[in-house]
Amino acid sequence: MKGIEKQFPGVRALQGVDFSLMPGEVCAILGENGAGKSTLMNVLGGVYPFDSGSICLDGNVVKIRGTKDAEQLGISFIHQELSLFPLMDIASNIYIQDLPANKGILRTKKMYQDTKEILKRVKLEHCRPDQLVGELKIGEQQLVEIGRTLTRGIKILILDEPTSSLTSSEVEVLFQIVRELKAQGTAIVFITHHMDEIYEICDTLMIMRDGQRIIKCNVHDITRAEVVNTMLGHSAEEQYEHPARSYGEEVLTVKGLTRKGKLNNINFRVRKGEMVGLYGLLGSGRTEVLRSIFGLDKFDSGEICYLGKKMDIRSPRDAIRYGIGMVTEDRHLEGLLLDESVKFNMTLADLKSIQARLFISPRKEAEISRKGVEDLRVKTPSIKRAVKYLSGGNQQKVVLAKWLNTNPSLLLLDEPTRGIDIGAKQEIYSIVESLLEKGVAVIMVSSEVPEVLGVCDRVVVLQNGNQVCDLVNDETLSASTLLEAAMGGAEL
Amino acid sequence: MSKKTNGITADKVTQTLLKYGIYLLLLAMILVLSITCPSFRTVSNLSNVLLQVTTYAVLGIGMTFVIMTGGIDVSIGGIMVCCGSAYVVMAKAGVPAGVSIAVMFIISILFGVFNGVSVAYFGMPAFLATLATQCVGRGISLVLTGGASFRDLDASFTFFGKTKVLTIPLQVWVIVVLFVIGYLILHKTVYGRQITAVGGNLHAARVSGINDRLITCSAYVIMGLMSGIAGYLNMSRLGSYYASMGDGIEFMVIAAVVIGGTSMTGGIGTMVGTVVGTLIIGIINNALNLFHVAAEWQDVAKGVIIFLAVLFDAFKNRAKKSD
Repeated sequence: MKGIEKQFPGVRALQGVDFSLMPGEVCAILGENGAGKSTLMNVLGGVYPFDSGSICLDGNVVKIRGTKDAEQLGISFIHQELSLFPLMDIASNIYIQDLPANKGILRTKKMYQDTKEILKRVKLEHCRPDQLVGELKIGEQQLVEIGRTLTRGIKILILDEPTSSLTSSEVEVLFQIVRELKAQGTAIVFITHHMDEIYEICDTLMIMRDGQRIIKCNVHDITRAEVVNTMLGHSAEEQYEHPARSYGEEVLTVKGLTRKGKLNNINFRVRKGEMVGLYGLLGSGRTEVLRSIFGLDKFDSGEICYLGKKMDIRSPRDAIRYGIGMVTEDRHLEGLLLDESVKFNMTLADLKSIQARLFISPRKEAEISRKGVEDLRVKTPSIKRAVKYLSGGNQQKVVLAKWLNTNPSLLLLDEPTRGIDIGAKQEIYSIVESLLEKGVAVIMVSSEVPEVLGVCDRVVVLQNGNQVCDLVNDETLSASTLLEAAMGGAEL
Repeated sequence: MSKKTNGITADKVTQTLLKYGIYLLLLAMILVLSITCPSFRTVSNLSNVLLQVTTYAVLGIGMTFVIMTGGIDVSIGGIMVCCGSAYVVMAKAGVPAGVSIAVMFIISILFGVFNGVSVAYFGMPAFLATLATQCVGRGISLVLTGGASFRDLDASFTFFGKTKVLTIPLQVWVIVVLFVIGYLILHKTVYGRQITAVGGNLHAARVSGINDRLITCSAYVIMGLMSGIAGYLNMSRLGSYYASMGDGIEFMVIAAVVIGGTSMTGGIGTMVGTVVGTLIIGIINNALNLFHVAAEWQDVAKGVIIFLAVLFDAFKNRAKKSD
C-alpha cells in the first residue's frame, strides 16, 4: 500500500500512509482511537474506497472496489463484530458464500465432511458441523469465522481486536492458528490494544497517529514504554494510579444473590468512596451481578441492601430512584442513542431536571450538557452534535455524564474502558477518582487484570457464576493470583 | 486540488437536497401545478385539498407517535368504522349527539389501550396485533349496523364538518390545532423525548430509567383516540356513515408519515415532516382529479409516486449510513 489517502467529511483520515507486508509476517497496528488504523484496514479489506494511492499485491497493482474483490485476492478481514448467522449450523456458516451444490441441490454430506476438516484446523474438533452457531461461545464463533476464511486461499488475514472478547485459553488457540497460518506464508495483521499479545505473537508493529504512519519496525526493536509514548505523541504518565482513599459507611450489601444457571450465592459489600472490582472471565457472571443490582435482570433468591435497608428493585427506574447509575458494557447497544445529540443523551437518565412546567427547557438542557462537556472534557464541536460522530472515548464520557447528572451514590461500571484509547482511559479513571473522593461507591466489572489491580480497592473474583474470593487489593495481590482464581485451576 | 473542493461542494449539495428533498418536492409540485393548471390555484380548490386530507392528517399525527416508537398500527380503519357504527346505533336510539360523540372517543381509546397492551406488555408483533384489532373493529361495525349506510346525520353532529371560519372549513382549523399540539408534545416535552428514546434505542432507554412499556403503550392509545377523531371528522364532513369507511386507509397514512421522513425503525422523525407528507399525498390526489385521470389509473399513479418517495427515503438512509 503506497501513499493511501482517505478523506471523510471534515476529517483527513489517512494521510499518505505506506504499509507493506511480507509473506508470513505478523504485524500489529497500534494507535489511539481515531488514529486511522481501522480505516487503513478497511481500505485494504475493500470496505472503504480510497481517494488516492495504490495497492500492490505480489508486485502487481490491484484494484479493490469492494469486499468481494478483496476476498478474491485472498484478503480476509475479521471484524470485531462477527458476521455469522446464529440460527444456521456451523457448516452452512462456513460455506455460505460458496455452498457446494450439484445442479442447485445442496451437497450436504460433502459440506459436513469438509467442515470437519476446517474445524480441525481451527481447533474446534469438539464441535459438530450441524451445531447451531448461536449455541457456541463467542470465542468459538470467532474461530468459525476464521474457519470460513480458510475455505479460500488467503494471503492476508486482518484481525480487528480479535482477543477483546476471548478468554485466555481461547486466545491461546487463536494464536496457535495464527502461527500455523504464518508457517504457511499467510501475512497477518492485528489491530489491538494489548501489549502482551503484540510481544507474544507479532513480528513487526506499526504505530499510527492522526492518520499518519509514525513508525513500522521489528517488535523487539522497541520497548513498551516507547510504544505507548509514540502512540500518544507525548510521554505518558504511569498508566494506572490509585491514590489512597478513605471509606465511609456501607452503601450496598449483596447477600446470597442467586440466579438459576447464572449466579450462585454472591456476597459482597461496597462502602462510600470505595471501588470494588468484579473480575472474572467471560461468562463468569460478572455482568449479571451488575444487571441484577440495577434491576435489568431478575434474581431468584438473596437480597440486596442499600444503606442498610433491603431494596426492592424491579426495573432500572427503581434503581435510579435509589441513586444507582450504570454504565453498561456495550455503549452502542445499551448506552447511547447514536443518531441523537450529545445533549439528548446526557440528559436522558434525568429528564425531570430539564423539565419546566409542560415543556423541556432548552436553557436547562444546554446548561446541564455544557457542564457535562466541560467537567468531563468531552471533545465535541457542539452539544448538538450527534454522538455517532464522536470517538469511542468521548462517547463513553457522554454516557458517564448522563449518570453523573443523576447524582448517584452508587455507580456500576461494566467494562468502562473497553475499546477506548489510553488517553481517554486515563481521563475516565480520573473522573471516577473524583467521584470516589466525593463519597460515591463504585463497582467496576473488568476483564483486564492490570486495570483491576490499578484502580480497585477490593476485588471479587467470579468463576462460572460462583464467587471464588473477595480480596483486598494491596501490594501483595498479584495478577497471577487473580487469574488463577478466575480460571479456578480447571483449565490453563 | 480543485477537483476535490468541487467534490466537497457537490457533496454538500446532495446532502442539502437529501435533507430538504421532501420540502422541495412539495414546493415543486405546488409550483408546477399552479403554472400548468389554473383551477389548482383557486382558493376553493386549495381549501378542498386541505379538506380532503383531514382524515389522513389526523391519523398521521397518531401514526407519527406509533412509528417513532418503532411500531406500526394497521387497525386505524377498523377503529374508525367501529366508532362510527357505535354512533349510528346510539343516534338511532335517541342518545344525544354530545354523549354519543364522547362514547365514540372512549371506544377509540379503549381500542388503543388494547393495541398498546398487546404490543408493549404481551410483546406481540405490532403489525399482527393491530391487524387483529382491525378485523375485530370492522367486524363489530358490521354486527352493529348490518353493513348498511346511514345518511342525514344529525346537524349537531355534522357541525364540525359543515362550518367555515375565515373561508376555511372549521375541520382544517381543528387539524392545524391538533398538529401544533402534536408537534409540541413530540418535540418539546419530556414525554416526546421518551418516545424518541424508546424508538431510537429501546435498551438504552430502559437502562436510562424510562418506562419503555408504558411509553410504547401510550403511543397506541394516542393513535386510538386519533382514529376516533378521524372517524368523527370524516362522518361529520360527509354527513353520512358507510360500512367501508377507512378501508385501506392505514397504508396511505403510513406512506404519508414515511414520506415525511419518519423512519420505520423508530427514533427518527418529525411532526412537520408528517404534515408535508400528508400534503404531498393530498396534492397528488387533487392533481389526478384535476387532470381527470381515470379512477383505476389514479391508484396506479399513487402507487408509483409513493414508491418513488419511499425509494428516495431509502437512498437517503443509505447515504446517511455510509458516512
